[in-house]
Amino acid sequence: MRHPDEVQLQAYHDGELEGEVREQVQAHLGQCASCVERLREWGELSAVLRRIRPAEGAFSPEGEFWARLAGRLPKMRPSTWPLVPYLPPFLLGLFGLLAEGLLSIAFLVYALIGMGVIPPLAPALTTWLSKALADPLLEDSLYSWLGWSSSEVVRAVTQPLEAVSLATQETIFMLAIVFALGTFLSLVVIVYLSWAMCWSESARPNG
Amino acid sequence: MDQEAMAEAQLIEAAASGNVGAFSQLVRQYRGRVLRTAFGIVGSTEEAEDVGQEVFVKVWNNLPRYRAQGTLASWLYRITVNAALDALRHKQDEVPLDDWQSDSSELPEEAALRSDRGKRVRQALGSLPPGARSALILREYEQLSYKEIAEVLQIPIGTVMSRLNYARKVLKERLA
Repeated sequence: MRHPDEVQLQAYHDGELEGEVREQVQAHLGQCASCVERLREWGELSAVLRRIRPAEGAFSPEGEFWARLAGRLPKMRPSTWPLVPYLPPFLLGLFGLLAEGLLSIAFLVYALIGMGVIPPLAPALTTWLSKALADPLLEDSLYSWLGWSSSEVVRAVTQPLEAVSLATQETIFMLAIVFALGTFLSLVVIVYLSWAMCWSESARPNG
Repeated sequence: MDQEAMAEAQLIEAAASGNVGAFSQLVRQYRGRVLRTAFGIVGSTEEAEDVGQEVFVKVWNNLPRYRAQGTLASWLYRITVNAALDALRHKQDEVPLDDWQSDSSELPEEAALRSDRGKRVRQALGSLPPGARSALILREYEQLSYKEIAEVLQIPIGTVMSRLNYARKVLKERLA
């Protein structure tokens, strides 16, 4: 084996070499006086450094240190900006409240339609859906890419809707709204949990 | 988890929930290591004690947010090194390097250590770049393994090795 480099020799001196490399360096040291001398120099330097390591008595007595420290400890631990730890649950609650409000409005509208207080929304929503599905932007992008025509898509969506009763149409629209809100809320919860587990201050290593 | 680690975990939990007695036990347990490390970096007992105070106040304030991802010792060493390096930056603005380890309040034990050789070694240590000095102090004063030093300084083991090599070479040259 050729001479170990300084980093290797120091790692050997520090007891940080393992396995085959350690054995090789050890074998080399058995036959190379210059490397033994280098190792001795690192050992001497370590000994010098450890000799100047301050003794316990170099510092003020333990009681004195603690008395000074105890006087400095704040009675109330300072927190980060007071709202920050509560902001995600607060936002989550706000989203929940918003979703609940929207759902309540939707159910109220549904009930009022059922009672005949307001006219059915299904025909208006079907017309809006037909217009939305026939949007030129969709025609130029998604439909042309899939090889569809807007009239085919509109027919495919609205025909089954028109074939069922008005009450069923209202139910389908209600379920679609509930599903959309549920998806949105799930996304918010996922983002919040990811933040809490991966990126929040308490999830990061201390130091 | 062995008994000692369990006892420490209980102390941490108690201190985190505001038990000052538990915290004083933790201070007693780690004071020596914190002060020695700080001393190795700042170079005077007085400043090392100031750093030590700052470290334990930080620990007290942050214990409720402490997550045992490494050991408490690693966390404490990390806070100590950072606080000592901060103190050093302020100090270097005020005190020339030659005054390193020349505080007038030193104790007799300290004075005994201050042989010419010791003084030269301390001055040579004081002239090392902070990163290399921190690695060397953690190795030689605290006898941490390369892995532990890497964890404390949050650098790869290869960088620990090169910093130690650099620090030792510089010291060897300066002390020759």
